[in-house]
Amino acid sequence: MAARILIVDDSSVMHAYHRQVLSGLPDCRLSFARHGQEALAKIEEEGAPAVIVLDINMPVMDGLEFLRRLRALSIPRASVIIVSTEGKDDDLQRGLEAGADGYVRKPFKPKELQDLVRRFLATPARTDAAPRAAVSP
Amino acid sequence: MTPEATTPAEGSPAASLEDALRAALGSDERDERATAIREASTRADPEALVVLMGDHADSIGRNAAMDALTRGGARSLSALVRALRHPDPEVVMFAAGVLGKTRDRAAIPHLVGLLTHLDVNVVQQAIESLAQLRASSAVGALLATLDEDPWLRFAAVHALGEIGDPRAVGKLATLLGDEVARDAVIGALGKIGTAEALEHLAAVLRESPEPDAFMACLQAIGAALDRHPDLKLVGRSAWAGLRSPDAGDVHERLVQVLAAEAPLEGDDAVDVRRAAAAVIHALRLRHLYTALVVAGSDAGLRQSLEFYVLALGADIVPTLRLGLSASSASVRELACQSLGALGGDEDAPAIAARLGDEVPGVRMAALGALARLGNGKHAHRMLPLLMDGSEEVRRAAVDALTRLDAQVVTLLLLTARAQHATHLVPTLAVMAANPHPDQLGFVERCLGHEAPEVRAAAVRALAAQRGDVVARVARAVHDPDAAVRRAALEVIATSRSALARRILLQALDEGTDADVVRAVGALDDLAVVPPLVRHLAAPAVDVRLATVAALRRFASPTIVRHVAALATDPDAGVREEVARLLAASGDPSARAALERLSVDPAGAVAEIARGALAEAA
Repeated sequence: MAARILIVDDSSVMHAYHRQVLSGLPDCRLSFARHGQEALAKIEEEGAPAVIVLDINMPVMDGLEFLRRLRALSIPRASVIIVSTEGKDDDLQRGLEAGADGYVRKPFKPKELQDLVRRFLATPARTDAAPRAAVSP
Repeated sequence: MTPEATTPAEGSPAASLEDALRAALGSDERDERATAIREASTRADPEALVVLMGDHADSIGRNAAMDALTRGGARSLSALVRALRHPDPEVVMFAAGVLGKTRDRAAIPHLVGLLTHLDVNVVQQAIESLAQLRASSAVGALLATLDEDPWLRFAAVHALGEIGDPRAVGKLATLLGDEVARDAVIGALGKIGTAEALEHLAAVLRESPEPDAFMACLQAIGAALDRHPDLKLVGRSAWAGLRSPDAGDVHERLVQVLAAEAPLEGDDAVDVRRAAAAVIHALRLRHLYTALVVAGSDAGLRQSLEFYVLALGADIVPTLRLGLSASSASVRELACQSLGALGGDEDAPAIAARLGDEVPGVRMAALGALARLGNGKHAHRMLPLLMDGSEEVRRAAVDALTRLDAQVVTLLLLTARAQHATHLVPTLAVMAANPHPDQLGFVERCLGHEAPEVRAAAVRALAAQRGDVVARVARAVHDPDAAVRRAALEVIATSRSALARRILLQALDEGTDADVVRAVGALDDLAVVPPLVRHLAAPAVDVRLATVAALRRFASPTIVRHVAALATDPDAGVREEVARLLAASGDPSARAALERLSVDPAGAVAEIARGALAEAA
């Protein structure tokens, strides 16, 4: 069965970019949410994805709140990659503390995100909640 | 929550309000935060919200501030524009993002000014906001960013598609070779959708060996064709070239897409297949019509296919005839429905043969098609479907027989000699909707049938006959079954003739029945008021209730006086109806009763009475 990658971002450009970058990965299926609340609803409906690519700043429910709620759910642990901008070290730190597994900084090259996603797909996230930061190369 | 320079004195009301809002915007409680966002969007100083938006330590408060600024719309504009000159690029980026979401076009020149900002994420955000604002005045500046790094190029391509300005087509087409931007360029050209854009897309469609590009291109062409249903775009060279036998490989791939043999999944799958149908329709690719009809086996595609099939007109009729015997029920259904609209009498026998189809949906489609053709020659084959095992088919049969010539249908119905209720009820339903004088004797006999549902159906069928039917249904007023009586009373009350009044008033004298009271009220005749008033004292609650409701249409001081006496009725429903009548009367004599009702233990009663008293005051 194809591994599901959930993109959580309020930007339609980023949806298109992620689609362009990740749709070529073999045996993967993409799904999209515009904010944390929609992402939680999607997870409830479709089950836990293998990987979540997560923006921090979003309306309705931001990335950090989503992450905290996600990690409180009794579901298989999805690997979470935070998409951040240069200089947002506070957000990154808080994200990793809340249970993110890796991050990329915008602007990133397609290969950076592809490699990170591939790595998480090859070695699924651990079942404990301890962060294990992986960064884009 | 004002900026430092303008902070009001501590303890002032403004400081308290803004401090409270600031605390609530950063609250972990989502409901509290949502309320604070709504409040802040109209009451907080936008400058202060901008300050909160730049708070690196509080991401919840920052996102809430952005939500509040977005909801604030034009109110937030000045503060956001000032924030575009903030030294922190993050604040500039957030401000640019919020400006796009406010949908205020006054932001456009300020966002264009950001396209030369040194921070690439700021520029990307400005581009996205210009796309949200559909800023055609920014097209020139956006075209210039296509020469920048790939990150910005991708965003600009997307924006130019959203804006949909034809000036972008030429420059976008030069990027069709860019591996990262290619699919975005294809999508943008589809959204712009001009003849020139379609030319480029047609060329890509012919030259794309990769399935992804082919699918993206097909989807984009589908979007362009959706925007130009008049097909004025057809005829240009590359596009028209797709029609020629030289484009056989493209035709082959279109067939694969329609047959779902191509690798597709998710929401895009239906879009791409719909696009393939749109291309076949636009180019009138006759040799692919079979693939088009066969694609009807996908229920998700059916509606779109129906549109394209009907738009193709007579050309596709021979293919539809073949579709009637397809192995897929969904295709047979599509063929039936479409032939009903496009076919002629010569198609009726083949459609009628599908009345015996094993799938109810096909039988229904065949019924609808024959009715649409207006072909009564096969009505005898439709008749048995009045007793079909499927309720939906039975309803479709009634509907279809209703649309055919009344004389033909009547003859068939009468010669069928229905005896049982299961047969008689739908037969009478057809007669009610498709009346003919020859039905009269049959329907009157049904009034004496042992099954009450048949008698009720007969009353409705009689009501559809021409002339005054009151005398004919009069005996049903005394039917032992309440549903039959009710049907008869409704028919009689609708007539409002002198005979109707006499029958109903006689029924009112003979006994107390709420249905009779309602029918008498529906006569809308002042002469019925005295006998109705007598029923205000009826022992049965439903009769008193129906009487007050019936009297509501005759507002007069006399009626108000009689009805006011029921303000102490033991039943709350009756008192509520009394309150309504008194409230609607506007009569000063109703005041005392309304005052009593305003303290009624039943909340609904008291509310109506208090409302009426307040209005009178």
